[in-house]
Amino acid sequence: MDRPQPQKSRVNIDLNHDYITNLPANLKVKILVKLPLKEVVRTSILSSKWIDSWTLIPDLVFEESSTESGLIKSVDQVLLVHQGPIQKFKLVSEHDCNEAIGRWMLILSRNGIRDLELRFGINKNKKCCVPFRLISCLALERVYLSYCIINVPRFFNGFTLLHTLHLSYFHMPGFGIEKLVSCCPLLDDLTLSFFVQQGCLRILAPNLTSLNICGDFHDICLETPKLTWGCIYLSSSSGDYQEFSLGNHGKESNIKRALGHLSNIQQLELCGCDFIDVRLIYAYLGMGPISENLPVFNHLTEIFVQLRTYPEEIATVLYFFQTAPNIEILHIEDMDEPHDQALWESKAIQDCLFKHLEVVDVMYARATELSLRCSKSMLEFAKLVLSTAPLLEEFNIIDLEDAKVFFEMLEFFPRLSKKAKIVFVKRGDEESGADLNATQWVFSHPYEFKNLEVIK
Amino acid sequence: MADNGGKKITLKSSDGEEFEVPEVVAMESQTIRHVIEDVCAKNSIPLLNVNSKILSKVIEYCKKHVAAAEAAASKASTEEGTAAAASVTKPSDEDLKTWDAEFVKVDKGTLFNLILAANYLHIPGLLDLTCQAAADMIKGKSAKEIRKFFNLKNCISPEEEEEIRRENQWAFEEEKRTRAFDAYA
Repeated sequence: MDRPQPQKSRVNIDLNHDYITNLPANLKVKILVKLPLKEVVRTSILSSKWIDSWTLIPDLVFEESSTESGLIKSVDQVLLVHQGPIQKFKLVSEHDCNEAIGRWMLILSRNGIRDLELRFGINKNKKCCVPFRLISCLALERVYLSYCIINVPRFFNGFTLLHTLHLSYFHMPGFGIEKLVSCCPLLDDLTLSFFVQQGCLRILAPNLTSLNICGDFHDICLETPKLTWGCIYLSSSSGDYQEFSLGNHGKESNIKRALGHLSNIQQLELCGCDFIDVRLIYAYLGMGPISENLPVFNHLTEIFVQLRTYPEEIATVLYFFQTAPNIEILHIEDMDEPHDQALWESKAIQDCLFKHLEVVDVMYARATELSLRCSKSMLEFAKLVLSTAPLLEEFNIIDLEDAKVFFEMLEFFPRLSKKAKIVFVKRGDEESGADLNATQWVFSHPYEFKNLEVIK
Repeated sequence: MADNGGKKITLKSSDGEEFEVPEVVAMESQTIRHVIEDVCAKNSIPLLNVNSKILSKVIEYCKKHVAAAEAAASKASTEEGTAAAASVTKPSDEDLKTWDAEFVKVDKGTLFNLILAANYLHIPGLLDLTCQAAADMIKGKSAKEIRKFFNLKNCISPEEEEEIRRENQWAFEEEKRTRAFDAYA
């Protein structure tokens, strides 16, 4: 933050006074930076004292869609006359900027860029190739890239100040993701969405607290001991989970390999891809021998799972209920799957702990035609929770088409908690939306959780 | 707001008026906080660059924001667990925003003096609020309107203006706005 500038000018409540022109430059800039860029540039004709005032603004945001040549010309023009540090550069465009991005990155790297946001278009099926120059931007703290190809060079020393990295619809050849993440020691908030990773996706980030992954990978290993918020969403184009590799050639269970470091996790969301009808993440995690020292999640207070009933998958779901004794909020998505009554009478079910459970949200798939009625498995699950959760307050059923039958049955299940209420909720279209990709996210924004307190 | 037992401090405006405020309110200003913490505990802090009218407005802002923060903190500590906190909306945030919006409905002179005071006293929230209000006065106006509104003396010749317009043609074009590019809703 700037040091305060003592002002010699006294108060002058004079109606004809020009208050704004003679403000110190840093304050004028603070005002201008809150205007859209075009309006900022237009202040250059206000008077002779305003010609260059705008060139000092530290944030450059190019969002309006114009012609390709128009856009490139405007960015070139602004970067040419700009003076002083460029703290933030944001470009949202459908156009092909592959030719120009090199020179822009050069200027940004020389002007101390801290906050870089490049979101390229979805109209053309072409990603922008981010130049190697990116790695010379040593002051970077926040990076948001969409539809980009990023090449991480071999001799990359990392961004020592980077704390936020959001990449979507991207491609990083080789093990670029792993290398980039591991070279950024302060990384705190990581989002990787809509990408394909061959081989193991390994995230080595000692200070990471927030992780959001949605992609196509066969193997995952999260070495992120400080992680408190995690959302792992696996979508595979192959559609056959038998292809998944077993970590360590089968010596270790996948759940230990993937999530074994997450001892501090508080909120976790595990999803498989909806529209291919194969729920891969649970099968993947369920693979591998049951070894010793399987992870326990003592700090987990909120979880989203899908009610998988295939044997390899249900084991994973139940694992969380057995090893996370402090869950308070549970979101569970009902999937219309084969019911195995024996499972619900097994010991695995009895080992489930719901000691601190307060809220249950039962979700129904919104954009697909599955699950128009509640499954038998969900009824069993509801019976289980209602009878074993002493602190239960809310049992919410969300967006279920045929609610009557479910309601009539639920009413008769014995409830351990006197406070437990069963509520039917219709979230409607505001959260579903036509875009299938969007519906997969139960929690669209990680910061929804950031304000929640943790009960220790 | 807890006024009992809280240490009070006196702020003296440039025109000699004295304002007694709780220390926690005065500490909203990082400048004053440094004086209290680093220099030594003073009973009376003279502020040579802020007159009484502006200082009283600044104090009003600080009092309101300290009270709002205290209310939010006490509400959070009485709530049971995270479940209830997750579903609670934040009416106090909305109220504060409304209050802030009313607070900056002042004449230009007062607003700009508030900007200078917020800068001098290093009160980030107030500086941001007042700068946004000033930006809102500029937004959407043509150059002519801006000049009139702020009483700017236009001392650029038409030829100079033409040259600047040409240099930054892209910013001065009246182009059709294409549909907002919104892939990241």
